[in-house]
Amino acid sequence: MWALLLLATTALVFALPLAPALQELRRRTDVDPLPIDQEHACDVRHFARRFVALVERELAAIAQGTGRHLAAGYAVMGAGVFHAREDERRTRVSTRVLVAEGPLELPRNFSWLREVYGRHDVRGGCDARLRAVMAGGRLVLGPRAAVLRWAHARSVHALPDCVLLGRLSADEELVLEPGCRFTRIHAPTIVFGSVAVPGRTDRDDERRRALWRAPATAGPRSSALVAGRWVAQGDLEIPAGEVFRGDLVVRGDLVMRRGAGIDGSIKAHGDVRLEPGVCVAGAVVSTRSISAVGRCSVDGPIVAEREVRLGAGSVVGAAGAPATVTAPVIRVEPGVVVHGTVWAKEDGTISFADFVSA
Amino acid sequence: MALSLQTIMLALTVALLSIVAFVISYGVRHYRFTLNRLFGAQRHPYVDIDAACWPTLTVLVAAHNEEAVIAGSLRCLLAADYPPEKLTIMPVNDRSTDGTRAIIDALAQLNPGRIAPFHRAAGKPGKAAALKEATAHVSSEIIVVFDADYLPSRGLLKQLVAPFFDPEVGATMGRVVPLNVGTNLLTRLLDLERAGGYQVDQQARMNLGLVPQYGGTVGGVRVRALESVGGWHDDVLAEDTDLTYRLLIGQWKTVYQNRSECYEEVPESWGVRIRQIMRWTKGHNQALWRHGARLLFARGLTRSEKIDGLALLGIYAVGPLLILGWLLALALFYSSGMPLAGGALYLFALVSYGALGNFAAFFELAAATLVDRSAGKARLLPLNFFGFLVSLFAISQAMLNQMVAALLPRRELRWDKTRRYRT
Repeated sequence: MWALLLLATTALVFALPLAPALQELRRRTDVDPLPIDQEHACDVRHFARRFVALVERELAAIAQGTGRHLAAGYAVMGAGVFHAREDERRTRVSTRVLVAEGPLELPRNFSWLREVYGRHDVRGGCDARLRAVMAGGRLVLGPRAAVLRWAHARSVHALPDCVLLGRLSADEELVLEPGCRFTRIHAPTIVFGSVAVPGRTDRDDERRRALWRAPATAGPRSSALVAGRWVAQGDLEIPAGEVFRGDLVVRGDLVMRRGAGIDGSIKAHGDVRLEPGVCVAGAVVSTRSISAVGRCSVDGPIVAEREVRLGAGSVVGAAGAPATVTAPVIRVEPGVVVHGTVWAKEDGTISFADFVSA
Repeated sequence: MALSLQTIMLALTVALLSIVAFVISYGVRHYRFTLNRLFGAQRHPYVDIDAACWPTLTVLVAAHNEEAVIAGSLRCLLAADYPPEKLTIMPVNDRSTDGTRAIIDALAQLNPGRIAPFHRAAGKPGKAAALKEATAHVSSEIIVVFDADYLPSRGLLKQLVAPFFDPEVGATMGRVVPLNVGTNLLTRLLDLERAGGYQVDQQARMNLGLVPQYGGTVGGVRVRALESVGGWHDDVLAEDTDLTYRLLIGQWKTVYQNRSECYEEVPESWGVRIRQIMRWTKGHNQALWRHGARLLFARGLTRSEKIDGLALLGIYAVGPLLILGWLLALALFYSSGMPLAGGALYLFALVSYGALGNFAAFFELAAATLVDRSAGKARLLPLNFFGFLVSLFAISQAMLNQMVAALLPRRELRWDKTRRYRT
C-alpha cells in the first residue's frame, strides 16, 4: 500500500507542472504568431498621413449626413483666431479635433487634447500644449509650446524653449531655436538656431572641396590595413590637415585634429572627437560618444551609443543626400545644419550651455 | 586488480565532474544572457537610421522546388521600402523541377527591371553552392538572403542594411518569427524555442559585445567582407555558421537586430524537425572543427569574443555530453567504488547540472515569452522537456553519424531543404 501511495505521490508531483501546459494545449489561448506590422516602414510621417486620411473621411461623412455622431468631436472653422466655447475658455482645454480651412492662429496657454489640423499656415501661441498638429503650410510653434505626439507641416519653425516629444517633421525645412528639446525630427533641411552665430561659411565649403583634392596619405600611423579597412588597436590621433582614403576602425578613442579628413567611414570603440574643420565623407559610429566640436562636415550617418554633440557650423548630410544622427542623448549648438533625421532616444537639446568648443 | 579498478573509478569520476563543470558553464552562460536581457542595457544602435544614402542591394531568394511559396516572398520584396534604383531582387532557382521557374519568370516579366532571375540547371547541389554561383553575378555592395517561404515587411530591408554604415560590420541578422505557430504541439514548442534563441540569446550576445550569429536567412552580408574571407563555401553543411566565424576571424562583426522581424515556417512534423536539427548539428560541428583553433589564435578579437565564439560552436556537444554524464553518474552511484567522496557527490553532480544546465534553457524561454508579452505560451514550458529529449537524442545520433562518416569515403552534399506547408 505504501508503495502505491509513493507511486501515486510521485506521479502527482510530476504531473502537476503539466496541468497548466495541457490546459493551454487544449484551450489554445495563445496560438497566434508574434504580431509583425507588415506595412511598417519607419516613416516619420506615418501618423500624420493616417490622421489626415481619417479626418478627411470623417468630415466627408459629416457633410453627407452619415457621420452626425462624429460632429460633436470636431471644431471646424475658416481662418483666423480659434474661438473656444464657454467651457473651453474656462478650463483652457479643448477636447475637439480642430480643423481650420484657412490660416489659423492658436491662443496662448491653451491645451488641445485632440489633434489640430490647419489646411494652410498654423501659428501657435506661447505655452500652448498640443497633442498633435498638422499644417498644410507653415507651422510656427510659440515659445515654450509643447507637442506631445507628432507634428508635421510643409515647414516648421519652433521658437525658443519648445518641448517637442514624439515626432516632428517637415516637407521642406525645420528650424529649431535655442532651448528647444526634441526626440525625433526629420526634414530635408534642419536648421538649429536661426539667429546669427559663428556657423558655417563659404570658406568652410571651399576648404572641404580642397580637402578631397589633396593627396591622401597611405593610412593613419599605428594602423594596419585589414580587409580593405585601416584598423588601429588602441587610441588613435590623426594630425591636423592629414587626409586619407578608406574606412577606419579604431579599438580605442579617436581624435581627428583640425582640418583632417577621411574619405570613408569611421568606427570607434571609444570616444570620437572631431575638431574644427574635420571632414568625413562617410559615417561616424562609436560605441560611446561623438563630439563634432565645430564646423565639421559628416556626409553619412552619425551613430553613438551614449551621446552626440554637434558644434556650431557643423553640417551632417547634404541636400539630396540625407543622413541620420542618432544617440540616446544629443546636444546641438545653434548654427548646426542636418539634412535628414536627428533622433535622440532619450533627450535632445539645443543650447549654448555645457558644450565645450575648442 | 583492485588498484586498477580504483584508478578506473577515479578516472570516471574526474570525467563526470568535468562534464558537470562543462554543462554548468553553459548553464551559467544562459542565465547570464537571460538576466542581461531582462535587466541589462539593450543595444539597438542602428535601428533608428531612417534617412541615408542607401547602398546598392541585391536580395537573393534561395529556391529549390518552392512553387507553393515563392510568389508570396517576391511580392513582399517588390513592395519593400527601398530605393528601387538601388535594389535588385534575384531569385536563385536551383534546379527546381516544379513550377518555381515559371512563377519567377512570370513575376519578372510583370515587373521589368526589378527582378533578375538566376536559374541554375546544373552544378554542385546545395544552398551554399547556389548562392556562390549567384553571387558571382552580383555587383551591389550588400547582399540580403531570404529563404523562399519568408515574408519580409516593407521596412525590413532598410533595417537589415542600416548596420552596414558601420565599417566594422560584415553581416547582419534579423529575428525569425514562426508563422504557423498554432498548427500542432511541435510548432508551438518550436515557437518557444525560436523566441528564446532570438529574443534572449541573440540579443544578449549583441548587448554584451559577444558573437551574434548570422543565420543564413533574414540577414545581410557585405560583399567586400564576403570576398575578403573567401566567399561562400559550398562544402559545408551550415554555410551561415561557417560564414559567421570566417567573418569574425577576419575582424568583421555580425550585428543582430531584434526588431527586424520576419515570418517563417517551422517544421510541422517530428521527422522533418529531427532532420533539421541533425543538419544543424553536423554543420555546427563542422564549423567547430574548421574554425575552433583559428578562433583561439585570431588577432583583433576580445577574449570575450573568443570564449563566447567557442561556446557557441560547442553548443551541440552539450547534448551528448549530458547523456554521457547521466550514465556516468548513475553507474558510479550504483557501483561500489567511491574514490573521492560518498555517493552524494554523484547525486550532487546529477542534480546540480540538471538544475543549472537544463533549467537555464527553460528560464531563457520563459524570459522570452515575458519580453514578447505572450505569457500564455510559457505554460507550455514543461512540455518543452519532451522536445528537449527528442533534440538531445537527434543531436547525439547526428554526432555519432558524423564521426562514423568521417571515417568513410566522402559523399556529395545534397540540398536537404525543409518541407513547406503553406499552400
